[in-house]
Amino acid sequence: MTVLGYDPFLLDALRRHVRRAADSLATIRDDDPLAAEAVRVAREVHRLLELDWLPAISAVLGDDPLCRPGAIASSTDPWAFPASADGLAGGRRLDDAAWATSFDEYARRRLELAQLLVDDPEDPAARRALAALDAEIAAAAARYTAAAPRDGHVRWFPTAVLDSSPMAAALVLRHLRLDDRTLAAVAALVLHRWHDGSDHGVRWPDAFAGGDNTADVLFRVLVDRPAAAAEFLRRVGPDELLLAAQFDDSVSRLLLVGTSPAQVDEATAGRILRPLLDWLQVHGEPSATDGATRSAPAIVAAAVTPWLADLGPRAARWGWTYDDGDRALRWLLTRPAARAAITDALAARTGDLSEAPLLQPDGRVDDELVRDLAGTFAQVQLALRDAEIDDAEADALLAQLALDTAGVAISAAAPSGPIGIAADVGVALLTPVAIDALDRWGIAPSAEGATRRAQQSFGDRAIDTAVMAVTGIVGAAVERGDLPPDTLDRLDLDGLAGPGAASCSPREVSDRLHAFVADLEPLTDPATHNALLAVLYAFANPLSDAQLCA
Amino acid sequence: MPLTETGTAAALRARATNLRRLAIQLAERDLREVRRRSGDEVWRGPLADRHRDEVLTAQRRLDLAVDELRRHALVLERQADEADLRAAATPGVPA
Repeated sequence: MTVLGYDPFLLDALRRHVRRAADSLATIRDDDPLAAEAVRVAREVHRLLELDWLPAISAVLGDDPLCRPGAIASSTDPWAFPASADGLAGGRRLDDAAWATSFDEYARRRLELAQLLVDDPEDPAARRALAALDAEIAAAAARYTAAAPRDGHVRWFPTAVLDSSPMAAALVLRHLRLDDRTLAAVAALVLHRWHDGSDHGVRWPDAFAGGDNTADVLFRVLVDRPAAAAEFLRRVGPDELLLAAQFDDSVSRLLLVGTSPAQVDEATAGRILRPLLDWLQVHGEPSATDGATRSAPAIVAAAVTPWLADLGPRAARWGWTYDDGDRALRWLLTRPAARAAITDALAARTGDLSEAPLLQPDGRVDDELVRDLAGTFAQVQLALRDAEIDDAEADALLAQLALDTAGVAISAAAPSGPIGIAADVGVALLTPVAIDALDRWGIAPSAEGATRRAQQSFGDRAIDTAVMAVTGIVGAAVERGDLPPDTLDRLDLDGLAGPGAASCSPREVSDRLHAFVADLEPLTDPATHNALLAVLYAFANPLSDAQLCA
Repeated sequence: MPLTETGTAAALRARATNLRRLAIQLAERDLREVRRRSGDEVWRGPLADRHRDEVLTAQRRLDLAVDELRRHALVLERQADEADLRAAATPGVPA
């Protein structure tokens, strides 16, 4: 029989001695060729201790398989084991400074391991050690949380993380069981401190280390807590957000999560995104140095995409003027990466309007919104034209915007609530009846198809959008059995698209759409008919036709 | 320093001194305290046994490395002495 056992207090003492030995061996260096072998041995032993035995011993202490805290000996003090396990004052309540020292030590070791992985990302020993260390940090954080005073009515605030280095605080923060608001508040404070630097403004060590820095770690923590992410974004300034992280993806994910229509309302999105747009226009794109988000315009553009109408017709809802919003939109659209980001963001949510912003609580959209979206569409068209961006990329953007806008318009006719909208719209846009019709007229419901067939459209994306929206709405009604299967055959647009089309096909198409909708009135229910009229009013009205055909 | 026999001897002695210093540093960083604190009274089982074995092996490797450094230092010092002797036996070269 194998005898297993350990004394946690003595094992913790062993861990500290292994730690001390490993640290001392790490300082052995010499350039003399005759010392090379000795230095190599010292390094190998250091790695053995650092990467194999420290994690192994820590894992035993962290998991504590034989005696969980509270079961140790006869101790009834929940602090006893945690305190000792961290090498701090055994058995007595710890103050913030002691916890902070412990957290700082974790951060120091993690930075070392992260650096090893920068040198060799596949280093299995370093990976194991990192995982073990993370488990150790989680265990320490759990002990710190468990030790929180619970005898008052004031919400607990983890003050120890403000005594530790920002990196240590960020690492521990993930494991503290904090509510969203407190997490956001602490994370913002930690980021402030990181920006301010340590004594005399000297930058914190992680600013010069490989791998994630404090901001990256913080942002990744917040991505998993969307409500906290939104609150955090309201608390930090644009420079703190955009001039901090080592890796752009951590900023991008945070901003997308924290400004998602599923997460925040229109006004909150404005409070977060407007300052970013203002800041970018004044400061330009961050320079290519460490700790700067180099693709900031694209990242902000992707986050802004669901709220494009607030840069134009709905500008007042973001507390700025149409001109301010239009200036910001044009600033984005003149940057290729930002344009591509908007196109990608639109494509990503095509057919899935479950996260479409600006829907009413019952999931419906009103006529005003359809008009606002039409206005945005025209605004983007104008901006692209003024910037003399006339290529496949601009066309792809407009195609996606048309599809997206048509999708929202179609949802105005969806009879079900918010949950059903996504499915209904997807079906509406993709239903075989609608697809057949759109294919026949050269308007494919995808960015690739739309770009490929750009020359075959009706001469203007707004008209294409109207055709898509009308076709989608009618297709959905056919799918529901509310209209006869051959209804779309009554919409005759043949001969209007492509080379050799009529002299002003937008006006022709508009006229035929109006006639088609008028013919359908006796057959359709009021909601569907109103949606069709809203689309026509927004995208195919006499004024826009006159402008297009002038 | 010009590359004379005496200059070479001084350089050799400097290297030897450096190696001895390194040997002392390495000897101070031994694992005896770790071994002393990893006995059966601390933990038992296959993991503990492996730990003791590996730490013992590591300690032996460090001891060998220390011995090797001292041996290198000794060789360098002997070479320095020989260089001094050659310099003394060569006319015109100051001792």
